[in-house]
Amino acid sequence: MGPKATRVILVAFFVICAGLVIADFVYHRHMEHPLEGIPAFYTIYGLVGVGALIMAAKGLRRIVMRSEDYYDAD
Amino acid sequence: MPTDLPPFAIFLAGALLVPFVRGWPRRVLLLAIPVLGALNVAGIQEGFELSVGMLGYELSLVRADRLSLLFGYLFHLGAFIAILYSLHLRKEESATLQHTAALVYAGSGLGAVFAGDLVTLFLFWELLAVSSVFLVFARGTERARRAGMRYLVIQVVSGVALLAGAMARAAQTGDISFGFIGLEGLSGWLIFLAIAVKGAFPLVHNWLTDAYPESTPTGTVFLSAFTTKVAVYALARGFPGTDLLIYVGAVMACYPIFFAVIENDLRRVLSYSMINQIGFMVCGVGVGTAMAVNGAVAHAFNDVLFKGLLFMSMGAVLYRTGTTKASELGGLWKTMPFTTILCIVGAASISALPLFNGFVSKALIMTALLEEHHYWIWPVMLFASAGVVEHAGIKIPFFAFFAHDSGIRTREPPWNMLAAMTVGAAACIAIGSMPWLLYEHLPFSMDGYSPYDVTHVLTQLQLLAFAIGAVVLFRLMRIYPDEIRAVNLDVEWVYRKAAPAMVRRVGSAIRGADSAVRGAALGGVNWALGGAFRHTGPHGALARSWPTGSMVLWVAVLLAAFLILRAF
Repeated sequence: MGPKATRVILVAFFVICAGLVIADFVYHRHMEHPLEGIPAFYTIYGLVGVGALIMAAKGLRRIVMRSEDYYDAD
Repeated sequence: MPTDLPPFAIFLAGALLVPFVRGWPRRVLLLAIPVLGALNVAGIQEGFELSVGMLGYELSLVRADRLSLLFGYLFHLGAFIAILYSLHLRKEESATLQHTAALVYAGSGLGAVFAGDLVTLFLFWELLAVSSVFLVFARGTERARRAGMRYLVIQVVSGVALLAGAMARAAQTGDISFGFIGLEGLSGWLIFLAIAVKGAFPLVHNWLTDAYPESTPTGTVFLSAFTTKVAVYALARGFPGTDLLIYVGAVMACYPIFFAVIENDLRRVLSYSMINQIGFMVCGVGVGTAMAVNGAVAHAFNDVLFKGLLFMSMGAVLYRTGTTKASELGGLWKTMPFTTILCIVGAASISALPLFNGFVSKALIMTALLEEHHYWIWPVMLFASAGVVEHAGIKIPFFAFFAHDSGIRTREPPWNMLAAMTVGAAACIAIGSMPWLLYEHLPFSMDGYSPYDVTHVLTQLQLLAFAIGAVVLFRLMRIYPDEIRAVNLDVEWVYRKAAPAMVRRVGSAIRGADSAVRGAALGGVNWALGGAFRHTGPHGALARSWPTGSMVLWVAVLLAAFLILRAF
């Protein structure tokens, strides 16, 4: 895909994200879990959760990553 | 039409026939088997039982209730899709071996879910292992052979645990029927251990991520459908409401996603993803309410479809390009557009996007967690849901078909692969948009439940969009981890590296002690030999030859001495 198409897709994606945050303040969703009371909880949780996941996985690499022939070596 | 033919019989009979037919008659036969099987299962009435007497026990070959029938339908659908996907196999790809093994494997899956007692379950449990390993061997590489052997050993151990548990149970209660078991006594724990291994529970999970990615492009599709789903079925039958499973499931749903982020082989990413999905099912069985168990088995049903679809799309990539390493791939959408779209449908389904099937089954488990006030587990499972989007929703399609252009120019896979993926994708969308198709076959009544209310759809879209947003931001900021050709250590390190090294070390220690003992013994023998030589050798005092004259003299001396002594 060309850079132009990529930019269009990205802009559309950010617009959708913004819309979903706004929707959280417009629509009164029902809640069962205390955490759900936090405004825009699901958006924060998705963003922070996956961000933390990726950073933690990068850290995990330092511990567990070996060369591709690690098990074939002997 | 009511029938009383055991569901596994059709597949096993087919497996006997397949080696004797070639060309298009074989293809017709292969496709006919799951179709005839499905018609047969449709004719089996709820409550039907078929028993045979053996060795003083009544073996229940078929026990049809809502739970076993649901898995029966599922396995026929999964087998049909996987058989269609592998229809093109030629002689060079050991077609006969793969087709036969696959039919026996699917038949054993059916045998296991319809088994009404633990002995019958054990027989099919082992047959699952022994037949499926040939789908790994069929790859023909040394890596596959070794991974297959490891897989077989671990699977057989699971079977042994099941048999031991069944025997202990028979000894305690005199009953071998397979109903609720629970974690009571030795037998309960042994049976639990057997299921834990087959279900790839934490610490005993590594056979899955080891062997599945080494199988053939078509073999992995079969593998992903049966073994672990039989385990989920057995849990739902024997251990619903076991609290421990809630926590095991939460761990299972979480830890594989860290490995999935950094894994380079996309079929291995899907294997980790599979453990993550089973985590949701295990958690649901652990909660144990009607809603939760329904969610667990519905998710097992959907997982066969969307995980099968994802494995099929990666199988197509492997078939055409010879690799599924993310570091080698990219830009394939230009030459494989249909495969790309079908893969994205699978990715959307596993991510639980509304209108796709993952959404309608995961919703039940998440709702059940809240209904039962598991307030600490719910956020954990929500995190795991967001993690799915990262590795299965984005990583799989993105690195294979988009990302940087690898320069690989290829073409779409054979028609039957595309057709199988299309059937899978259609099923994902059909169940996602018409959930009652699945709900009405679940073990417990759904009582008009619908996952499609505004709150649930909105919150799910928010979670998914911002989970994707995190990946997009990390990519834009260039801190997203690169795809690197590497292996990542996991529990398998213990038996692939540490244990062999330990055996070598113990071996060399034993060799050292052994040579010391032998050396000492040899020294002793040499000393004895040397002594003997000294005394009895050519110059030894005891071996000297004496002249006859001196002998006579000495005899005379002895005689004289004797006479003198006698005189006194």
